[in-house]
Amino acid sequence: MKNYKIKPKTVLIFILIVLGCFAGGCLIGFLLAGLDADAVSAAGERALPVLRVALPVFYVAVNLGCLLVSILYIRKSETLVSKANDDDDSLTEAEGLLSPALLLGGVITIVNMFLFSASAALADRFPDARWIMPTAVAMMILGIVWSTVVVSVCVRDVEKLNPEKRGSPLELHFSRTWEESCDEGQRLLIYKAAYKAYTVTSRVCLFMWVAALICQLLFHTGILPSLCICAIDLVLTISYYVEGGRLETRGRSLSAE
Amino acid sequence: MPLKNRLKEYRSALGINQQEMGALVSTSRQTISQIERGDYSPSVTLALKLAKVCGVSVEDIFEYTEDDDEKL
Repeated sequence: MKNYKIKPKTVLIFILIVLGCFAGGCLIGFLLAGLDADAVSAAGERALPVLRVALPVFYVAVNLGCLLVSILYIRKSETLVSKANDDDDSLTEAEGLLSPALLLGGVITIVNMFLFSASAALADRFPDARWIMPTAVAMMILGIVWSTVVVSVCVRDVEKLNPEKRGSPLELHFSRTWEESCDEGQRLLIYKAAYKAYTVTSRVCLFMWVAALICQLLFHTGILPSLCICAIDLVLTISYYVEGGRLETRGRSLSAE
Repeated sequence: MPLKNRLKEYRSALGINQQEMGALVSTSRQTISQIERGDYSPSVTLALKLAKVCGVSVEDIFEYTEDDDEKL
């Protein structure tokens, strides 16, 4: 078996990247040292009264907007299916139109969670602004309802186009049921998308940790943000490597069928 | 790895759509569509099933072509 030799050019590029990151970190630290954190905090304080009104409005608007866009995509897909007459290209296009609706349905729950937390922080700051929390609670509940409905409708439409697919988003083990009903091509798609999500999330966690560290040093936000980001990255990394190791064990079927 | 195929031709000759082809080989319309577009290379099992349904050999449906810098 040939010994794998690392090319000197690869090592050099790696060293340059590390040195570049070190230099970048030093520069950012130098610039932040000269930053008037109190001035930045004061600017943030001035923005709070605006947020007091804008946040609930934004909360409602983002939910309504995403709901409308999802409905548009679903209607377009269903119209295409009804006119398709078994034309395979049209059916494929119709299925593709459901992806943005599914994306919005999945993303809005996470956005609502953040906006709810932001609303709670704002309500704590302005106890007299009594509309903030009721709006947040209402939008959180409505957001969960409409995103569940949108995802359920999309899943139903996908199952009409692919009758072998099984599962409902309302079930506890929907992900597993859905995966088991997928064939080799669909599973490969899922696995590739999952790997992409893993690599992107790992990189984003790194940048977010830097941002959290800067905020901790400048604005004394504490270590909780860093703790959360590192916990997410740790769970991601450990899950990936443990599952990879488990799949490498002799006797584990790697077939996507 | 480029894998040209004539699945669409054979399927059209059988007079069935992608949904029906998928049902015959226990796979989805989506996967049949991806195979026909050249976006997905099927497993050995699926390729054999497709060949059996079409009544031809696997080599009649799928054609492996080497890139210029790939040599066996």
